Amino acid sequence: MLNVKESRVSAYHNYLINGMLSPCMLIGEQNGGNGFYLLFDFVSPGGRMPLVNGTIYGPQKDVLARIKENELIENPGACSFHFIQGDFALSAPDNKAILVAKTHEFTNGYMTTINARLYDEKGILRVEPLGNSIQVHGEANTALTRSIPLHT
Amino acid sequence: MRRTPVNNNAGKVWVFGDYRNYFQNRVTLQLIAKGKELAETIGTELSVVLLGESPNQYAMEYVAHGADIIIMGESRDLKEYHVETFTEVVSAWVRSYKPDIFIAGATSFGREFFPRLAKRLKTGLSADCVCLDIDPDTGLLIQTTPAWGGELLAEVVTPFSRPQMATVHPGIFKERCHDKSRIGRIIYPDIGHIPQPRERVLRSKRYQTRDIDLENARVVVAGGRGICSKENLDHLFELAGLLEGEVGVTRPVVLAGWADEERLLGQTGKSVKPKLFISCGTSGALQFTTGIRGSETLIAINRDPNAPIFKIADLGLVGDATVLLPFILEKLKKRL
Repeated sequence: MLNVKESRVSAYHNYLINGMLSPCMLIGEQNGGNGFYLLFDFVSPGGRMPLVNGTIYGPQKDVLARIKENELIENPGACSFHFIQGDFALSAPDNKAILVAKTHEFTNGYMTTINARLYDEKGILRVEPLGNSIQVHGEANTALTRSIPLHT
Repeated sequence: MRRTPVNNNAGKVWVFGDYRNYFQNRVTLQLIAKGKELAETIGTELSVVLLGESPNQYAMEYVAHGADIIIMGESRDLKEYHVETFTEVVSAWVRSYKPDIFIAGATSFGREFFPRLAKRLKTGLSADCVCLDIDPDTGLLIQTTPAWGGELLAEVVTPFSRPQMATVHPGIFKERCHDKSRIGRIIYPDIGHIPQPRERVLRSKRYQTRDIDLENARVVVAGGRGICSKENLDHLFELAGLLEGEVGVTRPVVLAGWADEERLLGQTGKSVKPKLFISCGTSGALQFTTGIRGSETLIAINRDPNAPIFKIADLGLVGDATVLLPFILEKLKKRL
């Protein structure tokens, strides 16, 4: 039997995660209190920007930033956050990139590539760069069938 | 993240995704539409096999056009089409997933790749099919293909070997609309060892063709051997110009050097679906008429009243096209 990896794929917009096209991805518990989570949400036809939500931790188990629908709502890590059209970058005070996303335009759709090194609330590495994609360690849900409503 | 999830069901109807020159070469999209219909008939999903260095855009395009599943082989070693490497990768996947039906466009690539793949899989292959259907009694794929030099249409079935394989002539089926809201599955099977191809591509250059859009022309004026000379073909161009159409030709006209192969219609040329098709001096041989079946209205001019073209024409003029055409042009110019 062949080794296989599998995801869903949107006809309009996908993120490149674990080297696979995925219309969305959730790592961690999105409604799990203060724990680490990262949600790249569905982009509906007509939209151009990736949709990012998350509680971002540093390697020292400290919350760096909370992002809700592409906006920095808490910033205890004094990070800088730039969002220009389909691209965004979350950087540490020393300008070191924490989470960078770039959206590529196709003739009839978009693909967002991500570069990130992220830790969870226990200081465990959950996401690291893999070529022009990211490698996710531990559980990640790329098989969401619809947008997750935000309760935070 | 765990590898080896989930669902190894990769659909039972497969289409090979030939995305070279994607926005002009629509045959894969036409096959996706037909494949989807076949898959629904036998109660399965439609998969498109996609190989390349980074074919992400085409995966999304194929989902938008109706693919349920993309079977993706992504590797720098698959950047160029090499029939040996492609056969190696795809034959392993076919053996593992066991599709019932596997179809590809009868493009230059499909004509090279699919026979080799069929041989490797020890199954049959029907080439240049003009129709595909499911037999309601047996569930077998009926592959309709011109036979005996195009003199008749043969219905071929593959009762014992799997998959049932066919190449299909471009322009036979209609593609589905692009639907941005569609979501599909994408699976990335292990590619395994990719053998080094025995040939190396040093450079590739796109063949520059003139801008002849026969497939999308609303009016096509076609000339056959009965046009008699290259000079008489000018009448066809004039008529096509007046009707804002394009000129197509039969194989003898190309062989005589009166027109380029880009204008060739039929089994080994282009298939057209114009609102109006005017046939001048063509006999109506099957290998030609397979490419013009989608025409809404067909007018035929031929001096032989028994010519087969009259059997499919809506309106027939018995006469010498070289004589009638100047007369028709004169009348038409007065009316336009």
